[in-house]
Amino acid sequence: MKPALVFRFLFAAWIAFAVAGPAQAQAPAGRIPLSVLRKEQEKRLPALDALKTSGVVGENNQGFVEVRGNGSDYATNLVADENHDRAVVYTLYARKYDIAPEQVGRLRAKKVAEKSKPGIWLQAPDGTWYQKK
Amino acid sequence: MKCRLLICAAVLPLAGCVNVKPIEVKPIHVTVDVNVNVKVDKSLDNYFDDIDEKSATIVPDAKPAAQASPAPTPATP
Repeated sequence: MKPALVFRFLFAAWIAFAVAGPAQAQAPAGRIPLSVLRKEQEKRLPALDALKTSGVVGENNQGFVEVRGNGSDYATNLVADENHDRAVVYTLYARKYDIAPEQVGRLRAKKVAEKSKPGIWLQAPDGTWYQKK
Repeated sequence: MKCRLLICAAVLPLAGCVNVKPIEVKPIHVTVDVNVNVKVDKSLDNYFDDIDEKSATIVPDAKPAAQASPAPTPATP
């Protein structure tokens, strides 16, 4: 193989890594610092609280937020972002304790149901939705 | 023939003694699960406590009795 060809191949590989590297670095759950996630969730909190208080969004029995009925794009996107961050946290603890992320989510859902203020929509373990009294 | 019958007669009653009950291991699993759930709960609390405290839709955890305001002392006559 000619040296020029080898150089071209290495240069192409370096470019591909430089482009794809930063995007992939965020993907695995374990690589995002929890402090960064928590800050993102805290930033989102007032908007999410407003949606929960108005009844547009509820807390389901899997530890995630869910748009109830026909939500706006704004609500749907906010819920998707929040659920993404929660899923990362659940996956992280699931790996740490060698259990399923779903189990972690259900434990969080139970805690949220206990601690939620009256008026918040919650999903019972049997799947039915109710407003906390 | 008689000898065989005698052997069969001697062995047959023993056949009933081999029946062993299976060992129940379920309680051990339950204990392990409970311990893991407690650990996961604590970890989740560590992570979400700050967020929950700032949330308007979640009641923050009640503080332990030692940190709460002291109970009023009964008035002495």
